[in-house]
This record gives sequence, structure tokens and C-alpha cells, in this order.
Amino acid sequence: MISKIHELLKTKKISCVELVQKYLAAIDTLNDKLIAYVNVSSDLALQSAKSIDEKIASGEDFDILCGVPMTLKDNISTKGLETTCCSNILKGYTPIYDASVWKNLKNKGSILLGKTNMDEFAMGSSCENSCFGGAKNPHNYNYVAGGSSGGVASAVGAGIAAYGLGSDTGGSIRQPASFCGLVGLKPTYGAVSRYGLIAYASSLDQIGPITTSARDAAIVYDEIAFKDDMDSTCKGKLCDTVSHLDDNIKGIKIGIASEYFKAIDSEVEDSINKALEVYKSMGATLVDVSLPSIDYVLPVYYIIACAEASSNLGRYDGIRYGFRASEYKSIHEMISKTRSQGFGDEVKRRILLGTYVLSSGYYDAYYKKAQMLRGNIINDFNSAFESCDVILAPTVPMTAFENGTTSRDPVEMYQTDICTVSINIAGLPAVSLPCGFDSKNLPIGMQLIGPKFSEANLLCLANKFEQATDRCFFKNIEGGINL
Amino acid sequence: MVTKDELLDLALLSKLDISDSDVDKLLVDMEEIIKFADKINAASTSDVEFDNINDLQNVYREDKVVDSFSQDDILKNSKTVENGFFRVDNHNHIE
Amino acid sequence: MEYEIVMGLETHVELSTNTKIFCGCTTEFGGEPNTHCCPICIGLPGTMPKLNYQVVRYAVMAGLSLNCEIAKVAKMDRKNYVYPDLPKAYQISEYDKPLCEHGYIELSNGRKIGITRIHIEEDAGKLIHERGQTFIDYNRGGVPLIEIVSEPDFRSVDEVTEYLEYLQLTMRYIGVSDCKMQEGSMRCDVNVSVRPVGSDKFGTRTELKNMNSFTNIAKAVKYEVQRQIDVIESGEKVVQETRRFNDASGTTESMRGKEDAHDYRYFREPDLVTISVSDDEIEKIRKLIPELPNKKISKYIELYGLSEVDAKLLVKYKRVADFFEKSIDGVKVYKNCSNFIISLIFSRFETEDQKEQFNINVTPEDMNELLKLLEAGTIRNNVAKKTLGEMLDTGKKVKDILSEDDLKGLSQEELTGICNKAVESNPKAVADYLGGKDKAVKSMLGFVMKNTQGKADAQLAEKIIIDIIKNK
Repeated sequence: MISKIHELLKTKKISCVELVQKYLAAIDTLNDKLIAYVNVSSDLALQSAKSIDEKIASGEDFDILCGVPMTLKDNISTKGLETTCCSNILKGYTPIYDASVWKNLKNKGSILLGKTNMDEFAMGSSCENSCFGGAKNPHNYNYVAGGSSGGVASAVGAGIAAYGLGSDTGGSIRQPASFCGLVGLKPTYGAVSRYGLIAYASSLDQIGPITTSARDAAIVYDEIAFKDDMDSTCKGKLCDTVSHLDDNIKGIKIGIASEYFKAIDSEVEDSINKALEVYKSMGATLVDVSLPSIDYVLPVYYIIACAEASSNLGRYDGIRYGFRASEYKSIHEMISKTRSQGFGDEVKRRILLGTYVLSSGYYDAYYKKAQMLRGNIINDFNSAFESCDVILAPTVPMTAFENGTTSRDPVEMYQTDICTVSINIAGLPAVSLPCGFDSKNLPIGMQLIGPKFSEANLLCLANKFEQATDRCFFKNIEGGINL
Repeated sequence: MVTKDELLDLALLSKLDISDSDVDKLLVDMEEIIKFADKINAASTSDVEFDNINDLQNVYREDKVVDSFSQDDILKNSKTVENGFFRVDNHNHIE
Repeated sequence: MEYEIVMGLETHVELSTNTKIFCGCTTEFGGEPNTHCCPICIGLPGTMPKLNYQVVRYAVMAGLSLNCEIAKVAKMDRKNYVYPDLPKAYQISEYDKPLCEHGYIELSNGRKIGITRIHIEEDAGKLIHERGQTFIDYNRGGVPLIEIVSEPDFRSVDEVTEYLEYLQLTMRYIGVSDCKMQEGSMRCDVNVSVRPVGSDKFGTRTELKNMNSFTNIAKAVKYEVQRQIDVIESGEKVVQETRRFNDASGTTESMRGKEDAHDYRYFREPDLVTISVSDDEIEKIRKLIPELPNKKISKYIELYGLSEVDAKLLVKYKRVADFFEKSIDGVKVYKNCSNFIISLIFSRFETEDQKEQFNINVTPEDMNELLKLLEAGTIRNNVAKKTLGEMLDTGKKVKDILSEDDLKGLSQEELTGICNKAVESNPKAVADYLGGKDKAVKSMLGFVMKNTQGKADAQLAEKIIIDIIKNK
């Protein structure tokens, strides 16, 4: 998609303004039902488009992402443009600085169509924890787009953004990408700068692209993975990924961990088995690997994520930005009321759990133990990667949930993250790509997991699969922009 | 097992008010979540504590002054400001 | 019953780096509210800290100066509590792996005060409560601090004062902080308890806060010790709590009932990476440390022959000590220099701060020149004093003030000639002297001094006059 847009702009088959107008018109038609966007920045987009047309007219060389209309999840800070994390507590907050990734993309001429929907503070797997209402699945509006980066997936899936950036703390890029039939890349921890990404769980969060092809994911990754002085934990990428998309994969060893296939829908399992056959036909060999620590990865994930979240979300006190409660008798009461009225239920639950696992008397049993188990999980992956190059697993054990059916039981909901969270815990890269449709015609996704900084290899494998299957698992949605 | 008092202590630490009507529901949720978290009790660990994902060390900044942001920008998102200060009224209730 | 006081100190020292600990904003004191701020130090969502290396270097310098071991591996942690002056709702500090540990300071009474640890952390903003409103300024937020935690080794208020003075002096010497109590760049909390003399168990302690001068610390401790003794004597128990010193009443007040529930839920700061100071780096930093004040004091006493009082007065201000040492280069009588500084220069200053600044018109080279003239007998002490006075007033050089004539000095012959004249022109004084009035010689001496513009050595002149009279 990105290359196509680049080509059209370059050959002047379409002007950037025309392109953006098309997108804005489609957003106008579809977004009321999709709730993919929570804030559409039409004026800014048209303005940038105009200046890009001038640039193109001047015959200047322009970057591959220049003039490509895209979107950002609403937890990525955009100077001068409201950024809410889809929480009432941040309504009205306009950042005074740009997230590093957006700063770079903006410099490259990217056109931001608007900010997209998400579960409040990225806490959720359906996007239904958004204060704006959940984003819908473009394949069937009765189903959720997934979460937490549901808005990005909904918009890209519906064709009302060429691509988008989401964030992945426990699966928040891959799961909605899987639900919406898209490619979603969760980069290695430290490959992409987190500066400006509103933190949920700092040791797990990573920004990554949701796109309509592996090639697009590679193009975007190459532009967002750079060393950034603003983020001490950021190293940047090891190498360009686009140039490796067509590498030879013959002889590659794909690891299969039975732990990922335990409680999985049969339709999902079938699709994955078929995908494995495709890889075998391309010369890959399959090896069994074992990841015994997967058994307790969910509680480890929730303990660490919630602990960090309880600290990261302490700052929302109504003093410097965002919502402030209106009736109070002291500054302390103001803070408590602001937080109680501003945060949604799931956020409050996670703050309370995080506070609990860090509090004196419980720290050792929960937080410290979880951090030690994190070491076990990392070791498990290290041993697995001694006998294979990548691990292939379902992204989610099932396809998209029906709207409003996400369980009222929080723990049951947490279980659906079983395949994705281990990757964040270990800081590994993983790409989710479509590999089938279920009987309801909803997309099925699978993920390729690699050692740290192996994005080039993962995207190459995804690209090969896409080519070998003739992109048959991608579906254009009516009403969206299909060039 | 989380007691009601413990829950209220957690709420105080987290600066969250829990209304009486929410307490019971939240107690059930927390009970469930903590039971879920307790699964890690059974797991045995090596005694290596996790450090940081990429084992990074000594990432520093030079001690060079960078221009601060304008006072207007700093105060821009606050509900109430006065003479360059963030201001919070200690009483703001409708009797 | 007789009681013994047991105290431990937690001293916060603001480091004099150019920029804050986690962002490039200036650390300059004051300024219009919220003008030394950026998204990082007001904790806007999405921002991340980036550690200023100078903070690590300064903390290591402080640690080495206080005989600490420097950690091979340190890390930063979050200390979580919600308070309006803390924009992230956590303070980035160091919990279980501080940079420096196991140091000590030796007091003049020979006792050692253990330094448990020194760690780096960020300062909070400032709150002003006025007419039912709270005003918040985050200029100070993110200014780097070191917290120096002592063992509970103090047994008297004097020990506390000496320790703090020494700490202040040392930090100033190594240049890591100006340690101004009034401006808050040095703050001290005191943990106080009492126990019966002879007991080896600690009593229940209280933590005293809000003292902004050494005098107030002494006052607060004295008050609190008596209060605790009174509580115990009346058969009650001391409550472990934080107490605030009230400057106006000179008392301490309980801070109970404050909104802060204390459970800081420390955990590793995930936005920062491991700190590891290599042995090479430690040695490099060690070389940056100048001669420390306690060493200087003994040197001044033993090597330069100054009195302890004078030595301490000079060493108290680093700039003065530097000036002194440069001024005495090649000089034999060091005392002249210390006397000039203490009696002539210090008397021109009104405040401690001025002594600290030591802003004078005279360079050490000027002073050195003057001292050498004095030592050679070229000029007399009173001339030297007068000259120094004029130098300080006008900034003129020695040579500009003293005439060639002054610098020629006075030969024995010239002096004898003038003494002869003095005897000849004062027959009455001569008669008086011969009549038994020894004091009469003074008026002849006055004549000599007047006619030599004070250049004459009074003792020598007196001896010559008496000789002349006797030989008549």
C-alpha cells in the first residue's frame, strides 16, 4: 500500500491533497459506525498535503513515507493535538511536545489523519474499555476490532488509513492486527523509542506498525526504529529490514511450542497447520521446542504490568493537565475525586492490583517473584532459539469477540492474552500476520516470534508467506481506500 | 484473601475513592485477580533477578543546559493558573 | 534518671550541576515560577528521564570524600507517593543499591560517625499555601540531590553541629554543592531518641524536620530531647512519628494526620539503565578531589605553625584557603598572611556569605609581594598594613602605593643619624630620662618614627637612642 501510494504521488497520478481528501471522505462515511478515530485532524492533514504537493511539484526527491496518510494510536503524544489515551482523565490534554517516533515521521512528510481509538491507557483486549466506545471490526461491525490498539487496526483494516502506529504491552498491536486481518509488528524492546508514548507498563511497552502487508511493516519499522537520546532504553534497529524482505528462507527452522496450542479454537489450529505446510513447501523445517514457563506467564505479566501501571498512572492528579473533579474540600480530596471520576473500572482494578503487589509485605511474594520468573521465561526462549530460528504460534487462541461479550470477569479476559504476553515479558520481536478466516469469515492470525533484533528475518518470513499464498488472507473492505 | 480494610488501604495509597456500593464488587474482583496472581507461588525460580531487557549500562546525558519551555506552554494544560503558578483551590464545593 | 541522646542524620544536599538530574533545564536558584521547566521535569505523560552524568560524578566525589565504598553496580528506583509537589507521583531515587556506602567522618573528640549511604535522587517542586489556595512552582523539581544518611552515632548536639559544619565544608571544597541552609540547598532531618545512660537498646525515635539553620537544628534537638525525657518520666511512651520544628515557638509539633500513608512501594525505575562505575572511573574522579579541609587544618597547624583557631578560620572558606596558600608561596613567616586575612580582610565583610565569596581587589600575587617586602624588613608591619588597606580600597598594586623611597628601606646609618637628631632636639626628654623617667624615651622615639614615615624599627631605634644618651 505504501509503495503504491508513493508511486502514485511520484508519477503525479494523484495529488497528495486529492489523496487526503479521499481518505477524509471515507473516514466521514465510515467512522461513525467504526469508531476507529477518536479525533480526526482534517485541517492539519490537508495543510501538510498541500505543502507536500508543492514539494513534489518542485521535483525534489521525497521519502517513501512522504505524503502517506496514516494514523497514530491515541497514546502517542502529538504536539498541539489532543492526546487522551481514550480516558476521561486526559480529555482536553494537548501535548506540548511530539513523541520521538512521530517527530521523525512528521519530518519525513507523513500525513496524520487523526488519532485512533484504544482501550483506556492500553488496558484491555477489545477496545471496549475506551471512553469513546469500542472500535468495531471492519470485517463485521458486530465484532470488536480487538485491543488495545483497536482503533488503528479498525482504521487500517477498513482502508481509512494507509497504516498506523500502535503500542504493544501484552499483545496490543498483534491481537487487533490478527482480529482485523492485518500485519502487526511488535518490535524488540528497545528497538523503537518510547519517548512520548504515554506509559502503561514501561518495561513492556513498545510502539510498532499495523499495516496491510509485511513490506509496509518493514518500511515503517525502518523509519521508526532509530536510536533516540530521549529514551535511555532505546538502541534502535540492528539493520534495515526492507532490504531483507526477499532473502532466501530455505533451510530455516521453525520452532513449534506445544504450550501455545493448549486451549486453542480448532479453526485457528487448522489455519496454522496449513500455514506450516506452506512454510515447509518453501523449504522450512519444523522443530519442537518447549516453553514450560508459559504456564505462569499470564500472572507474571499482570503482576509486572499492573505494578508499573500503578506507578505510571499516579501522575494523573488534575493539577497540571487533564480532567479535574469539580467539588472538593482539600487538594488531596481533589486528587482522589479526580482519579476516581476520571479513570474507568479496568484501569482502577489494575492500579489497585499493582499497588497491592508492590506494597510492603507482598512485594517479595508477587513483584519480586514475578521479576525472577521473568528471568526463567527469558531463559526458556533463549534455549528454544538454540534449536530454531523463529517460533510460530497463534496470535490469539480465537477470532474476534462479539461486541459486548467481553466477559465481566476480568481474569477470564486476561486468559485470551496467553499467546502474546510472553513475547513482551522476554522483550522479543513478533509479527502477527493473517493466515485464514473462520466460519464467520473473521480473520485468523498467526505470529512469528524471533530472537531480539531479528525483525528483518521475521518480516522476510511474513513477506514470503504473503507471496506464497497470493495475499489471499487479506481482504479489501468496501468503502475504504483501495488503490 | 483481601479484606475490606486492606482494599481501603490500597485505595488510599492509590488515591482512589471506593464508594460503599463498589466495595463488594471490587472485593470479589480483587479476590479473583489475586487468586490468579497466586499461581506464581508454585513456580520455582532461579535466583537471578531480572535486570533490564537489553542489559544496558551507563546511558547518560551531558550536563549542558537546554532551553526550558515557555511558562505559557508549561501552564497551558492546567485548569487554573495564576501569576505563573499552577493553582489549586483548597475549597471548591457547592453547598 | 540520666539520659543519653542517640541521633542519626539524613542530610539532603542539592548538587551544583548546571542542569537538572533528568533533563536539560537549568538548576539556577529562583527565577520566575515554572520557567525552568520542560515536559520531563513537570512529568508530562510519555516523557522519560535521562540521567545527567555529572550527578553520578559528584555523588562519587562526595562518597570518596566521606570515606565511602563506591558501588560497582547501582540502579535507580521509584519511590511512589502522591503529593502535589511531585509531578510524576514518584521520586526517582536509589533504594537498595545506592552509589556509596559505609563511609565515616571523624569528629574532633576522636569519635567516628558512620555514613550508612549516599544516594542520588531528584528534588520536588515548591508549594506555597496562601488564602486557602495552593500555588505550585516546579522550577526546583528535578534538581539533583544527594541524600547522606548517617548511622545513629551522635550523642550530643555539638557532635551534630560539628558533623554538619564539616559536611558543608567538605561539599563546598569538592565543589559539588554550595550547601546553603537558607536557600534549601542543604536540608537536614534528625532522628532523635533518648535512653537511660548505660543502656544499649535504642529508644523510640522521632524524626525532626523543617530546620533551616544549624542554630534551629540545635534548638529543635534540645527541645525534642527534653520533651522525650518528660514523656518517659511521666510514665508514657514516645510515639514514633515525624515532628515539625516551629521556628516561632522553638518547639516541635507532631505532623500526624497528614494525608500521606507511608508505603513507598519502591521498585526499579524501568526507564533508566544500570549505573556501573568502573575502577578506572573512580580513580579519575578521585583525582578531581582537592585537599580536604581536615587535612588542610592539620597542615596549617603543623607545617605553617598557625594556631588552631586561625587555621580553622582560614580553612572554613575554600576561597580564603586557596588565597592564603597562593599568597605564601616562597614566604617564610606564614603568620603575617593569616593575620592580614583574619584581622584586615575579614573585618571588611559583614556576612558569612561575603567571606565565602571572598571578593577582594587584591590578588594572591599582590599579597605575596607585600609579604615578601615585610619579611625582608624593607617595610615595617604598620606600613604593610596601611598599604594592604589601600590596596583593598583602591585595587592599586604594591608598587603604585609605596614610593621608591619607601622601598629603599632605612639603613643603620640613616637611622642612627635621625636618632641623633631626636636626642639633640629634645633636651628636656633627655634630662627626664637621665632623671629616672624611662618613659621619656618614647617622645624621642615618636620623633624618629615621624621623621622616617614609620619605616624605622621601633625597638632598634629605642636601643640606639638610649645608647646615644648613655654615651653622651
